[in-house]
Amino acid sequence: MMLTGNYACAYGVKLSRAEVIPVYPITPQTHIMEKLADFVTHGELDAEFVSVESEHTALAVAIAAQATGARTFTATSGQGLVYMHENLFVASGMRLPIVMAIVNRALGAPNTIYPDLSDALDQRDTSWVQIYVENAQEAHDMIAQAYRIAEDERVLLPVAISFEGIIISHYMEPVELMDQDLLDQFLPTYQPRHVILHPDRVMSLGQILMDDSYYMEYRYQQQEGMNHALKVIPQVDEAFRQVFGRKYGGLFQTEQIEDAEVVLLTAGSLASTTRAVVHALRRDGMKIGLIKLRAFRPFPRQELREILNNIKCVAVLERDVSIGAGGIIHIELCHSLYGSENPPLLINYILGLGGRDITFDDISGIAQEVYQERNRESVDHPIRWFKVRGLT
Amino acid sequence: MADLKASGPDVLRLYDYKELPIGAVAIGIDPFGRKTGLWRYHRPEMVEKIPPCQEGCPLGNWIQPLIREIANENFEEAWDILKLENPFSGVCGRVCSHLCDEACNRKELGGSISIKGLERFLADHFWDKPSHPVQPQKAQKKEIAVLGSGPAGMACAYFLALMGYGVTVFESKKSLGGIPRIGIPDYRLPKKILEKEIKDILSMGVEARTGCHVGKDISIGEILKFDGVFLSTGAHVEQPLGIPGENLNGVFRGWDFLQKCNLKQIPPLGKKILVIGGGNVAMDVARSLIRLGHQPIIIYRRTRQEMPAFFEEVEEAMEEGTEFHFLLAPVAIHRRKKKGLRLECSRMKLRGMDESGRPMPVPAKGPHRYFEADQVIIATGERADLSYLPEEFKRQNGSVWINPWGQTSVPHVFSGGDMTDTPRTVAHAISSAKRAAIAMDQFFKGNDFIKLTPIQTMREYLGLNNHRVEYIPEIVKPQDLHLAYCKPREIPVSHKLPLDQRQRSFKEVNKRLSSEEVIREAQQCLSCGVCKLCSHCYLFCPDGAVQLSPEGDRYLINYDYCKGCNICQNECPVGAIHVRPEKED
Repeated sequence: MMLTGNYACAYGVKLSRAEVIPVYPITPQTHIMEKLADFVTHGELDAEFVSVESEHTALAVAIAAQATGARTFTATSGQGLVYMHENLFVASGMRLPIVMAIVNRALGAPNTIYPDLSDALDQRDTSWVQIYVENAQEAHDMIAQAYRIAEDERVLLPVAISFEGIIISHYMEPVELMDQDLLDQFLPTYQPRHVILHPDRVMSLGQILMDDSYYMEYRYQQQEGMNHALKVIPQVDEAFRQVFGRKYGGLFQTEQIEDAEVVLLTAGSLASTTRAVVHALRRDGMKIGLIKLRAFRPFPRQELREILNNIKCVAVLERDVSIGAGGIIHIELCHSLYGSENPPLLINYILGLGGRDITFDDISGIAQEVYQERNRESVDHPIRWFKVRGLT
Repeated sequence: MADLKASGPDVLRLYDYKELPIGAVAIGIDPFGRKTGLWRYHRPEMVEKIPPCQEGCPLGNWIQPLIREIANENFEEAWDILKLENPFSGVCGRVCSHLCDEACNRKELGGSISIKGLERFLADHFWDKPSHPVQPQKAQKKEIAVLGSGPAGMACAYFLALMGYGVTVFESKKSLGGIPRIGIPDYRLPKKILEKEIKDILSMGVEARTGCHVGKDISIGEILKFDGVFLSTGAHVEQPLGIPGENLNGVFRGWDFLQKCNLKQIPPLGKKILVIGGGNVAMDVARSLIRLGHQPIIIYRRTRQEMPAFFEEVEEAMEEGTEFHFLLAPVAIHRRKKKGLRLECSRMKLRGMDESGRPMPVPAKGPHRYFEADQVIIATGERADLSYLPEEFKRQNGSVWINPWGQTSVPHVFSGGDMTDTPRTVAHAISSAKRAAIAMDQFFKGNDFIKLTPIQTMREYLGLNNHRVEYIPEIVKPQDLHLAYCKPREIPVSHKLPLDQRQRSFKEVNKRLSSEEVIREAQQCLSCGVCKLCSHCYLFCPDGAVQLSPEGDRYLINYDYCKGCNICQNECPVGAIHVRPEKED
């Protein structure tokens, strides 16, 4: 089927049999909401579609619904996600395996509807599992995987699947839909065994603790769930491959890094372009590879540390920034590699913010620039803003 | 394991993180959660306040529940509620000025609810079904004489009969009814309506002696021998203008003229007729003249704003073609040489206020104005005839003196209606009668009531006024309502006879609304100050502390959980939630 990323995502939700869907419209996410409303209206999806007055409420409704044991889905973008921020902590703190699609949109001001990943990366401390995908097919498949990861009793944390607005959300690609019967086997009905609201069993969820008696214990439980997710994500990916024949690499996907001297590390739609660049440069004899980072939370610290041990130089190409510090992925990578025996040089390219187009030639140029620097002891200007007019 | 802990953890030991039930269940506290009510500084309370319509109604009709019952299509309940306070809903539904409509908070929000239309509808709808608002009480061994059978007298008889008293009504005229019978034209009040409502009162065991003039056919001494007496002989004595020529041939009195109209004994009249005065009698005279094919011209010494006639009456008189001249005071009436009369008027202007608080007309400069006409009708008010009362009855400003309960200076004699100092409307007359009936009941039972605030309604006196929640006697103003929830008003409906027919016949001008129309009308009531179970408080309460009562007739607040955020008050469309500071310990 030819589908936009948004529709591919909506089909993923439908096939995953979500039961409660509270969504508030925001560009570029709105098509997901519209398509799901369409499914519900036409009886193709047996779910409660809840119209709400804000994203904050959308997530509040999702929390309440999920707390009764219903499989819940919501979606948002940019400012909407930021508006949800408070409730993101509640969802994870109550250990509710909600799945949300984040269709990335750069944050205002200045306002834009075009993407970068800052909106989602900004939510890194909310204890949500975060996975970044690169195309419509992956968005479609990852909704199903996300439920299986989230509902895994070792994890029990909400999962956000992020893909870039416009670039992925609005452009059509061929998508192979999951088979419903196969998916029902892969993703059985949600049967929670942890606390669930029921009229027969009155209890208080997310209650205030007036003393500090359990706050840290609950927080540590979440940390443990996130630790488990490091194992569960690749396991689910492998299980998915066995059923559907498609595989995304779990925490991250690697390409031609076995003998690579330089690795380009990126996330989201940039991975597609970068992959093409790597293939082309390999043909020119350059020892270059790709890491497509998929899981940002949990951050695969140890896994990346091991795989990058003998690489000379890693360039982090990212469509996001933490002003005053650098690229957000870059920062996380620095902390992951600190103290390793043979750490690579790290160069950070901040590019494509607010949806600025990044072409094959752009990435190819970056790759060649980095390749020349690979044997240095250290690099000047490790954090580089790419193609800012007036900046040389 | 997790289930067990979730429903009843052992509060005496501290669990380690592996043992804690997953999902941030609060351990060691009531499974119903923390009693957040402890945090409260302000206490919202469900209350009932006074809707302005009810306060506006001079006779104390129980309007709010009446409208609610109509909105719920319970016409019979509405009918009983209406009849409890007023035996003349058919008359009032037509001729009352409906101060309730004026007071309605909807007035500036698309238009008042037509309470008049609802009242009229019920009276017409239950034409053949007398209401029994309350079981008449057991017979009392007291006999009461009522003098005069106007709205005050008949209403007093009605309320006394409801309370079990024997009542005899004395009426000097041949038929019962007072002003509504002899003074109000048919186009406003068809006589069969009045007759039917009087018949209903008589069917309660009230006796009536018509054609019985006190002083001629029975002495006042005989009357005063009754256990109790209610005086309601009205005000029928025309007051002279005190100008030359007012006794000329061709000069009539308004009140006298209306009586003749109702008795179909109209004197021969010319084309052009001057009507002096700005009250309801003047309007009735002018509009009757139009229907009889004459051309009335109204002369009034103040302006349109100061006219004592009901607003609607003046509007309709204008529509029908009455000519109005303002700020003119009659000085003399002259006979013209050949035929007809000439009215001489001085010009007036408004300066300062008179005793009644109305702008005072004073002579203005300028030549006198003259109006020529075939006849002149003077309709400038009447006064009470108190000549039949012995001297022991205290008088005040030409009226009988009464205390706040309607009691005269003779203890067993009470009075009401136009012969007392009260606004001369049917509603005020009925109100004064009701108050006196209640006072008489207390008087006979030997209660010490004089110093108490007078009780104005039967529901209060009979203890039927059981509020579902705490009652706060405050009148609800528009700013007490949440107007964002006020739905737009549908265009108010009214059905009037076409103008050309009005100008030709005495057929009733206003027609009744349909059942569908009154239900729609009632459903647009804002229910000021009275909960209408809209459930906003229930839906908005962040603590789930608002619950429907087991009877389902009101919402209750669970103060164990109410934090006092007052969102319920903020979201209440009708202003029926009151917030008080929480008392300190």
